Amino acid sequence: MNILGKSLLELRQMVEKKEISTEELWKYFLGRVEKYEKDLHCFVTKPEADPSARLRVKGFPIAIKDNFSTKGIRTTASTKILENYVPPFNSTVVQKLLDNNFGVFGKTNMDAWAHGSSTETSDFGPTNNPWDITRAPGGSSGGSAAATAAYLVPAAIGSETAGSIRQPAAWCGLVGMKPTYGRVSRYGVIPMGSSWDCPGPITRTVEDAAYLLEIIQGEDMYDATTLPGPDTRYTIHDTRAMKIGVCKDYLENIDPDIIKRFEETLEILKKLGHEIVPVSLISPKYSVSVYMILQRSEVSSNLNDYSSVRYGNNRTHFGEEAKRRIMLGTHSLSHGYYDAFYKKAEKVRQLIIQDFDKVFKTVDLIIAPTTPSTAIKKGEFEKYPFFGEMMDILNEPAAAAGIPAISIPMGLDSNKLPIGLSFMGGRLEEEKVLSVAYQLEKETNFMDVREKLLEQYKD
Amino acid sequence: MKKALKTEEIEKLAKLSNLVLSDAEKKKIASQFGETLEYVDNLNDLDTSKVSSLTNVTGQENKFFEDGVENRRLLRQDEAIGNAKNKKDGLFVVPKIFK
Repeated sequence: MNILGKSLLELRQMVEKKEISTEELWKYFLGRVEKYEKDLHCFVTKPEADPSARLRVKGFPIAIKDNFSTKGIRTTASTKILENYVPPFNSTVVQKLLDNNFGVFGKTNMDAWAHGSSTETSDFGPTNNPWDITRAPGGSSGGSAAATAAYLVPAAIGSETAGSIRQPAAWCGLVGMKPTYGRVSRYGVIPMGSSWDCPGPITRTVEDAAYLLEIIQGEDMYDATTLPGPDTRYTIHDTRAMKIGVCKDYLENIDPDIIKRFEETLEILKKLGHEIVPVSLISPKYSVSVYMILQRSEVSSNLNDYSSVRYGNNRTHFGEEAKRRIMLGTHSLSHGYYDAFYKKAEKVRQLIIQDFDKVFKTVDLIIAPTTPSTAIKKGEFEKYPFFGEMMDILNEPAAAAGIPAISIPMGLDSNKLPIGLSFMGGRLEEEKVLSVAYQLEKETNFMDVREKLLEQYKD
Repeated sequence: MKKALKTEEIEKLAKLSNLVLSDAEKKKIASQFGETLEYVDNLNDLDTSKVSSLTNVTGQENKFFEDGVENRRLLRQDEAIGNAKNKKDGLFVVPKIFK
């Protein structure tokens, strides 16, 4: 039976029709992990390394980023501080997946504490990009993206503070969906920037992303920032003509190959009946500054919890990046600097939110490249003083404003590396974002990106 | 213009952050601070005099638990302390605050 490359929904239908059992699927993906994990290093805790895996094989396999608490399964956030931490409870996202007959198929590698955009700051070693193992998969959800791209698992859950779902999805040739802030519960997710953090799916198809989002979303009494939302299924079949905005500030310093594909995509969108209109937005360079200050302030506060009293190792186990972020956050929040840094950044964040609100009164969506470049070589991040911020410069505005955004793959560049493009929508307008992404998938099959990669990762 | 922090300032922040840094780390962090502070200076391009401070990105109001709502995810004591290295009689042992 041919399973290779089938989407999560296709596989679930096969299970429903009893063409295959979840046990057989589990075995199939375990075989692929056995074959390719040594080249890719997607997992911190591999599925077979889980002593209680036998209890879970009844569930449909899905990989979970290692910052989601999983009851009885080690949860490290790729940090030495939590290297032996076994949570006594499930995060809401994981609980909802288990309630829908999913099983935790391994915990995926990430930048330690999700601090990074290449998965190279993991305390357990980097993940390799399946397109070229000398390159980074992006991050921080790099393990989730690499595992899904190489089909070691049909889909995965990631999380983002500003780009950690969309950027690795772009670099690995996948769909990555960041929902509206508050649409998905953060309960049980090892925190980074609490006013930014959003769990979301990394999948092969837009339909899979919509399907997983429907399962994991919803108001949660354990996360007071969750929003009461519609409990209905998402419509991704909305084919109404939409007004799609393009902002020239989002096209500065972008690889020419990406710009070319971006322009070709605008033509496809016009052909599908959509209207492309210029819009003006606050330059993303200001979102970078807002993010650097607010995220680090929240990091310094959140990581204060890790003192080894209740769980984990002591603070001497923090890696370099975490220490750097804690220090900067402490500085922004300290007496004498609070007004100039933290408060100023909060006010600019407010301006960014108002700016998007205004623009979404005139357009339905905004389209932009996801990243300034395709996947870079491992080790290169050291050359950039703010590597993560610069790689996520186009993702940070939507994160600052808490609005939904999706990255979809649109073919390859001249180095045969996947290109990602993004749609951003107004608050709680996931349906519009998903619908246009779905139309492009149907129209182009993402220029066969997914199939091309699997030629290198045969059964 | 580089806004590098003085060693004393770095040491003060490390103390506030409850971190122990090596001399090499202090030096590296001091110079990276300079680069970062220089970049975020661009926020002063934008006039925020008429903007109120942000409290929540989605405009969410306060939420409250109903009295008596069952906390289904309550942990048993042994579960709650299961990951602690230092415990006594079912309780966490915490560092001394008073001498």
